[in-house]
Amino acid sequence: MLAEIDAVHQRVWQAVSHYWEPNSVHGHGPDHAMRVYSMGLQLAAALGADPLVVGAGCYIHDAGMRPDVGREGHIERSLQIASALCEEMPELAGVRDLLLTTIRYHEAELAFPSPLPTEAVCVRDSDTLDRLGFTGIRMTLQYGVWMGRALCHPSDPLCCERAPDLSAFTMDYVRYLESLPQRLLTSLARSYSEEKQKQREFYCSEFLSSFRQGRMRNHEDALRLVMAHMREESRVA
Amino acid sequence: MKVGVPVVPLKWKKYLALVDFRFQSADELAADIRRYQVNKAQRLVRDLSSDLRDDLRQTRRSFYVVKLVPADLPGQLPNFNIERISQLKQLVAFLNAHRRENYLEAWYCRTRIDPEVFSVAGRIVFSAADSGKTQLVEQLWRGSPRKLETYSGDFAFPYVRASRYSWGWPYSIEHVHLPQQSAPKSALSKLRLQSEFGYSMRCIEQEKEKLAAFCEFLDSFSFKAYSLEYKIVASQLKIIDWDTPNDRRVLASQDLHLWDGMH
Repeated sequence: MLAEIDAVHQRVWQAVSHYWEPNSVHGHGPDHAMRVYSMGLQLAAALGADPLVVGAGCYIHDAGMRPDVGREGHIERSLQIASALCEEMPELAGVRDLLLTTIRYHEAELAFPSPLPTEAVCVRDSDTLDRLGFTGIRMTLQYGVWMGRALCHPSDPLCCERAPDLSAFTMDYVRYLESLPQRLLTSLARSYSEEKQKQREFYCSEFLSSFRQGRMRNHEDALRLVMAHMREESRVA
Repeated sequence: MKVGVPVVPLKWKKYLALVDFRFQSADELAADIRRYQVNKAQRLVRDLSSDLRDDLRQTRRSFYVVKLVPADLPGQLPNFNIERISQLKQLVAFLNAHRRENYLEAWYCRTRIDPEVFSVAGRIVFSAADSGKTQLVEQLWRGSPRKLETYSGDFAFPYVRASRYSWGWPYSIEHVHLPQQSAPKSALSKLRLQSEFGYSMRCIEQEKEKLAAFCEFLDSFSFKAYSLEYKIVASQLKIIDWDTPNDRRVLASQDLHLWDGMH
């Protein structure tokens, strides 16, 4: 049974991977899909959700992003991609509505109807978790480079004494990420988020220290810092 | 007394940038895109109906895209595709469904798609990835470039995806798709698709000077990616739209001299 589900997931990935690849340019490439997929299946197993739907939802949720316009309109496009896939894959036709629900409500900031199906909860929490910690900081920095946003406010780089200006400063967005864990819907995801929060706090303190020493001049410097920590993290694991 | 100044929708300013870079003249743009104030949408339906009847009389096939346009959105606008007179009722329902929303204008434009006429539409995404600058092209036959966003295995249009490193480099074709149920008479073979794709790229290459100038302008904003949409109908290339991560920033540039398009 699991092998059959895995085979369906592989076919979904083959069908959508070309949508993800160009989005590496703003940090939402195939690596984001893979991490969300892996975490989504863990949550599905723990919560008793249908892994077929969760895996497919994770592989499609951000497929509607584009390298030229980024997030703008991406949920609508992801839904269109999912609808088209349900037409051509009989295995998905029977779970079409549930699959579309996982995609429609995958973003942590979006209001959702109650009760949200467990499968949608898994995709949503999994995506939110990937937006936290080093992975989330890297995506945020890459998105900032892509849209030509300034790295940080010149005198208040971590937005301690201002309201965050998410369209103006990337580090304001990094600061905003600390509000995401409270939007997680499952206790399991919340427990995973604790480590991610520590990563963010660690990164911010390192960032501030480098900034004060004049070594944090642009997004490239900030990305180098997070990549160094990610490499360190993978060695520890 | 305050004199009301007509608001030029952001989307129209995007099209005017194409005029500024000489992809088409202001008159051509005004002829290609029929604009109506949203409260005069009945006129749009009437004119579109008349165009559809003309097509029928002249045994032409066209598709029309109707867009609802607010003042301040540069893209992702609600739109309705129509090819047949029988779809006019659905168009009216579409316009009514959005009647209470904040749209200034309703537009429509036409593309010929008769099998006898060469008609393709596509999008070129220019990316500055770590591996260098690349151009990714997606093209479909006889359809709207908006359809590219839903490409999948049972896509109803012939489709080619290709990429190349930069200007002057040959394209490497990554994927060719033939619809399963294309009518035998109009069916395109993979070989013919590749050949027509090559022809389309040569048409684009002929406009390289203007394209390179526009790209140089967009590059000045240091975006990591942006795109151009095009149509080629009967050998005539038209650049019909562009998208960047921050269109407002581009349109605010002092280097653009946008003709306001209002008489």
